Amino acid sequence: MIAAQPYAGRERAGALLEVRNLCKSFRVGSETFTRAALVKAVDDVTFRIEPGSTMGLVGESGSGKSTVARMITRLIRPDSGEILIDGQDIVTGGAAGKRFARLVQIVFQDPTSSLNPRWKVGDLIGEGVLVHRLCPRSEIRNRVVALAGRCGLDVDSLDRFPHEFSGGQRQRIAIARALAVEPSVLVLDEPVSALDVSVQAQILVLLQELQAAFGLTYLLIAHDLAVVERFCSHVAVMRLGRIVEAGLPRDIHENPKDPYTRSLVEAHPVPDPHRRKAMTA
Amino acid sequence: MLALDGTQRSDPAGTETQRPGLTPQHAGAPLIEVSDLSVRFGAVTAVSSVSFSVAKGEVFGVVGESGAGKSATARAIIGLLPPTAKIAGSVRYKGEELVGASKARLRQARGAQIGYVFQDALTALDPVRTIGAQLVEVLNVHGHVSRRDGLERAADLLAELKINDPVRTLKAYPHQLSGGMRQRAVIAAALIANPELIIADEVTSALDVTVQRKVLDLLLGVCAARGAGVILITHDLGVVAQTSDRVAVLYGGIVAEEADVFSLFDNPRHPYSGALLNSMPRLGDQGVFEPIPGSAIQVFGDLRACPFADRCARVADDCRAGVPAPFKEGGTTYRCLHPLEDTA
Repeated sequence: MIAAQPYAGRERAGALLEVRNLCKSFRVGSETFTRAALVKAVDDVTFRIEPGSTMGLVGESGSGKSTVARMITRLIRPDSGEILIDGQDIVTGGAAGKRFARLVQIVFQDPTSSLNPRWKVGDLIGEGVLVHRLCPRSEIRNRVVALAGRCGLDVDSLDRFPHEFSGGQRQRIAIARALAVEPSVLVLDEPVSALDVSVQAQILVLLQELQAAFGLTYLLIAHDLAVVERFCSHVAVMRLGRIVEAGLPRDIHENPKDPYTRSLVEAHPVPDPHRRKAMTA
Repeated sequence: MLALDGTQRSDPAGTETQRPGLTPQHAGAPLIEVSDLSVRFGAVTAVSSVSFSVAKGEVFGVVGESGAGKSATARAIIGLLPPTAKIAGSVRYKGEELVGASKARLRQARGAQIGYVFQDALTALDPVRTIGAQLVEVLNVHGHVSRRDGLERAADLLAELKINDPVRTLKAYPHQLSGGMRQRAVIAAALIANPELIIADEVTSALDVTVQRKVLDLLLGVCAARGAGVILITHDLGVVAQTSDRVAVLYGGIVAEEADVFSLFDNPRHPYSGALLNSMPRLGDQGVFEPIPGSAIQVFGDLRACPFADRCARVADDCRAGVPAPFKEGGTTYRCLHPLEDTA
């Protein structure tokens, strides 16, 4: 079957992702006139995701979720702490670390800004394969075709440009691009929140299928508790750079302990008029 | 009663015929009555013959995906569409026709009779003027108030919207406020001239979930206290379930289904409504979860078939023969030839 082809002969099926004592501060404000303040965006974050499972990361904007995602994908460097893929540190691991870093890929929230508008879809998906020399040049096209098909894109879409696609189709392109380099961990940074309601479900189901097929490990950043409960085996709630609560999604939703988690559960708009919540104001 | 300003809607296309049934009875008449409203942008048809009405004190939810015609409908009501938009049909505010009304009349209606809360607070507010100046400006458009009186009213309203230090907020510039505070300032601008109808266009979509809930409750609380009608536009079925009395589900520019909120969620009749409900995961419920295949439609030219036909599981040949006429059953009106079973 073409579906599994890009992974044929690869033993790697999901990796263990461990994050230990991760810290990152940013300077805020210019130093020209005032002393710059240091904001702890991520403050001593530790978690582990078992191979092939999904952890949800929930929190308000500014809580540090995306900073964690960016550090795991090596887009920014942590101040301190370790990020381990199958035990190998990808931050300080040198050349071996770099090799392992390919194993973590990211799907961004907005597929409009994360795909180069001047590149054809086929080239976008194949870029990583080329860069990492994962197969001979002559075979790239076949791999891209197979992978695009697996993500629900037809062959003729490969010769078109991103703007010719709907939001949902663009997110499929972004997913295919991330998968092209044979990662074992996928960081999904709000992958459906920019999409229409009816399309969100399509993408979530696709991600589930891909996880089952390739044994991928997911870190899912989301704000919708219902999505998290449905798709994650574990969930961590972040606030002000720290993980304030972690556990099984069901426990968190039914018995939230942290005040912030409680307000999150209370604010969740339940799509059932019989379960209308009292006004908070 | 409002005086008609005398300008009658010109109807060059002749698409609207006089319907005797629609003469408003003013006692208990709806606040706003939209009938057969269509909006076109060049070849794109954003809205095709949308009809609904909203009464005083009612929260009317309008749900749909992007391109379903939600915002185009809302903006057509209040004359905020660009001149390139072709509008047909009728929008009556307390019996007064607003489609084709003069610019001056619409400008007067906006704010004083119909308040519009914009989605993006950062673009809705002027970055170089204080919140106070922008709120007093609304009052000055609708009659002269002194700066002092204006600021006093603005401060009272901000306090009603649970802003802790209204006086300081009035002196602040938009960038100095948090997202939730800014959205409250935009709500205040829409409410300050005491309109009887509020149109809230995706007001909380850009906010965090916890802030979202609070801002929504504040907006609806103030509207309820004043007995104002609300048209709440959103893509979020959860928000609708939590807040609305009646709901219109828009798809491809038509009202696929209109019902009271309980009927819609318990007993959806249009296949699109049903599919939409099944395509969202629910907290504490591992039941049905089924995506709708395909993607949202964009309509070019006249709509000649059911817009949902290509994605519908119940599609038949007659669905493509024409747009199904609205069919009323109980409290529900739907436009479908092969509706879901009535489970009520």
